[in-house]
Amino acid sequence: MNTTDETEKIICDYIVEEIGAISREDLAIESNLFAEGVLDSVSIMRLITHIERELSMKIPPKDLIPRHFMTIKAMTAYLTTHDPSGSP
Amino acid sequence: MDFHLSSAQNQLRQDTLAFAKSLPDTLVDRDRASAFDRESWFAIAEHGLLGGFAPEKWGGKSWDTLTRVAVLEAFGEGCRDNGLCLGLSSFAWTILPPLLAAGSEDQLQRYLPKMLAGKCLTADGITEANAGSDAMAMETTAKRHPDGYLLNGEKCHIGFAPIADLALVYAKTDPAAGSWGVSTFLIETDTAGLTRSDNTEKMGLRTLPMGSLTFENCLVSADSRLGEEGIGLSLFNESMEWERSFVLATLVGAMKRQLDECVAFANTRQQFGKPIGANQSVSNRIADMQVRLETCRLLLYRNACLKDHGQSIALEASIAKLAISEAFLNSSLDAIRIHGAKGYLTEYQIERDLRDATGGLIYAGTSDIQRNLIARLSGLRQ
Repeated sequence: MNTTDETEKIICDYIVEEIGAISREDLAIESNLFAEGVLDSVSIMRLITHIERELSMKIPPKDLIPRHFMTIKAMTAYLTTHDPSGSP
Repeated sequence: MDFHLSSAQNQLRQDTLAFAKSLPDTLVDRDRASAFDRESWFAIAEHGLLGGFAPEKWGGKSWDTLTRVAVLEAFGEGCRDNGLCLGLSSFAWTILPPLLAAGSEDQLQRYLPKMLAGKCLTADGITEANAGSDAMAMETTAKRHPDGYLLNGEKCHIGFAPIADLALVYAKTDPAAGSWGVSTFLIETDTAGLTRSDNTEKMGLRTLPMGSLTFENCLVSADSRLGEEGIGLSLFNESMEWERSFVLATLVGAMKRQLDECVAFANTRQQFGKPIGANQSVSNRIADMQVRLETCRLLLYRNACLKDHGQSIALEASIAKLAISEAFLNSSLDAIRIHGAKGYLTEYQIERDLRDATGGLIYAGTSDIQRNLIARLSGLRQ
C-alpha cells in the first residue's frame, strides 16, 4: 500500500496536470474541491478512475461519499486505510 | 478480449429469443392506448429473466455482465415491444446496481424478492423540470425530521411512475453541498405525501408508462435512506455507467430483427421486374444497417467484458450510448425507406421503431451530453 505522501502526490498531480482546474500553488489539501470549482461530477469520475488504476484498487460506490472524497486530505486518509479490494 | 459465448450462454440466448417471440403480440393496440403489458412482465419474471440480474443470495442467478447483455440482446430481437424492453433494461441497469451497491440487508430482503417476482415495479426518480441534463442541480429536498426525512419536490419524465410500487428517489439532504449533498431513498408509492401522476403521452415507447412523482411533506423513515447521506452522486454515476453502457442492449437485438426483415423484404418485393434489393439504394441501406449492427454489438460486448474485469468505463459507456442510440434511429429510418408505404403504415409495425428510437437520443443522457462527456473524458479541458 502506498504511503500517505505518495497517495497525496498521485491525487494532486492528476488534479493539476490532467484536470487542470487549479495551479499547484493554489491547491489546498483541506479545501472542498467541489465548492472551490476544482472538481465537478465529470472530473471526479476521471480522478476516481485514475486513482483506481494507479493504486490497483476498486473503490466501492458506497464509499464515494463526502466524508471520504470531499477534500484531498479526506481522500488520502481513505485510500491509505482501505485495501485494494475495497474492504476497510 | 474474448467475446465468444459459451455453449451455455448460447443456449440461454436461444431460449430467451424463443421466449420473447412467444409473448403475445398485442402491440399495435397497446401502443395506440399507451398500455403497459403487465401480463408479459409477470411472464418475464416467471421465466426467470429478472433473476438473471440479481445475486444468487437473493434468489437470482448471478449472471455475469456478458451473459446479461447477450440475453437482453436476444430478448430485444424477439420482442417488438421496445417499451417493455426499456422497462426490463431500466430495472436491470438503473434500479438494481444502486440497490445492490448501497442497500442494507433489510432493504434488500424487503424489496429484492418482490422485484424478481415481478411484483414490485420500481421507478428511478432523478430527473426534474429544471434538472434534466444537469441532474445534480435537482431541487427536491429531504430535510431531516425527528421521524426520518421530509421530502418536497417533483420528479418528472420518470419511467413506470404512474404504476410504480416503489421509487428510488434522489433528493438533496444538504443543498449547500451541491453535488455532494444528494442522498437516495427507497419510497413506497403509497406513502402519504407522494402522488403519482397519470401517464404522460409521448411520441414513442408508449407502452412504458411515464409520468411524475410529487412529494409534498412526504415523511419517510430513516431506514428508507439508501446508503449514507451524500451517496447520491456516487450512485448516480454508478447507475449511469451501467445504464449508458447496456440499456440499449435490447436495441442491438432489435436492429438484428430489422435487418433480417429488410433483407427478406428486399429479396422478395419486386418492382420493375426485379427484387428491389437489386437496386444499390436499397442494398447500400442494408449494408449500412449491417455495419451499424456489428459495430454496436462490438461496443456492447466490449463494455460487458470490461465490466466483468472490474473496470470503470465512464468513457466507454458514453461511446456505446451515443453510438447505439443513433444507430437504431438510422436503421429504423432505413427500414421505413426500404419498406416504402408499408413502412409508414401502423399495421406493419415498422414505423413504431422510429418513434421509439427517438426517445433513445434523450434518455440516459442526450446525444449532446454524451458528446460532451466523451470529449471531457478524453481529456478536453473546459
